[in-house]
Amino acid sequence: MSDKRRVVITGMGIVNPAGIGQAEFWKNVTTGTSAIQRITRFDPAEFPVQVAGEINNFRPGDFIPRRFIVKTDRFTHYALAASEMALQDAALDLQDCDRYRVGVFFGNNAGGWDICERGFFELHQQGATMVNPWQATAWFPTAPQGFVTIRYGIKGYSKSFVCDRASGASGLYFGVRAIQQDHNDVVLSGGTEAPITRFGMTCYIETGELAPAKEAAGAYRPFDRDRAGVVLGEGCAVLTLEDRDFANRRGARIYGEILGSAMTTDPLPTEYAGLRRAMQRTLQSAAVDPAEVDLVIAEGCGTRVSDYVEACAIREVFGVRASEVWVTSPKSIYGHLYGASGATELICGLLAMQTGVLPPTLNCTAPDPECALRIVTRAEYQPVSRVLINARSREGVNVCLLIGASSGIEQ
Amino acid sequence: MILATLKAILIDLGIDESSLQEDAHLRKDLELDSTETVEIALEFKRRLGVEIKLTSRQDPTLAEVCSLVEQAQTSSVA
Repeated sequence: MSDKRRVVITGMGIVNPAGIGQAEFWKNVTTGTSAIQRITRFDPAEFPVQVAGEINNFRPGDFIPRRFIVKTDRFTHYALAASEMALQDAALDLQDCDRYRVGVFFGNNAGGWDICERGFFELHQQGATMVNPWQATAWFPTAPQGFVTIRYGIKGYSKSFVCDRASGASGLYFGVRAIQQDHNDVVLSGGTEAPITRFGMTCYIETGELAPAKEAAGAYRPFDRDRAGVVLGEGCAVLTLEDRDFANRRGARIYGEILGSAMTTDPLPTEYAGLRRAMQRTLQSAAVDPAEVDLVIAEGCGTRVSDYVEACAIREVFGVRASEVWVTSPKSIYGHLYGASGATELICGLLAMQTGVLPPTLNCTAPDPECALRIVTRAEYQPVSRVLINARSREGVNVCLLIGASSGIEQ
Repeated sequence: MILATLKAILIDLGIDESSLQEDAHLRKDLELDSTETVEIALEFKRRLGVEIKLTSRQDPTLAEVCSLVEQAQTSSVA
């Protein structure tokens, strides 16, 4: 790893059902204040799933010029807002940078359902000539990348990733590589998602992966014996990633470093050798022993199969220490953010390192003995130096990242 | 009346009111993209029931857009 360019995190932006901005988000996460609620954005009575993690206090005008708000969907509003937060948090003015060396690497799974519903309505009620022009540019999963690059004049190597529940983590994985491989000095990376619309919910229910919950209380219970599936959330997480030397030269505050990462694929959702290998390779690439990991933020998506195979993989990686390492799934508090997951949990990891608080897994009241992990069921207080973060798609694409304090930095 | 409607449409698009001079070009001065230009035409249809064809390549001024609307109104009455 010594010859590779090193990647540090200098800014965080978060728009989440548990809170907008780091402070509110972390307070609600660490106190285990559930943001899962009955859906209010449309009447969910016709659906077997009636709960989700909704964001109800977001005002795009607080973060984004009107011109961008008008022509973009909600999931891009979240991305524009979180990107602005991540840049401000990093005290990074892109006017001072070579913008051909700045990139955007985002994940998104579903695209913009709000704008699609409007477009469908216009098409069928008013005719093809009355369909709003944003339909052409606002719905697709690369729209957040496009509008963020337009807003800031970013010209560097950039990509978007659609990879089910590993979408956001894929954005991070390749964003880190874009710096390591010397394409970029700065990358805005993470992902965004806003699937809580009537049409979006229809599609997600068809996956068969959602918990059929009509009541919010106790609906999302990763690693619990009675877990019943995913509860959807919405939101965005953006990290400002920088080449370590670049960050040091400008005297940036550094939250932590991406110490290692790996990506693998299992051939079936029921298999986990690939996930085990992703964790092992991540640790090896960072030259970190499993005993040095303080916390695993699991994919923990709450389906019977995924939690079980992930638990098996974690136990095999940690061996005799498997009963000691803390494992958590804070998604239980705010829902699964698909495109924004991975990045949201990476922010949880950074904030755990900063505050010495381990975020809890809600509703794991009867931990599944078949998973046999040491789940953080209420906030624990202890120093955190290294956090392993897992993401796994429904069909078995795995992304694993290790973060830790950045060593040898002159500050 | 037509100019006021055009200005209202542009303000709804987030264009700064102070830049809305009659001789301002949609593309060169206001930096509208093709989707925003299409939206102006759609809004005239919604608000005044007139159909005009606007393309960002022609890059008309606000005054020229107003005369297009006026012509369309006159011809539909005729």
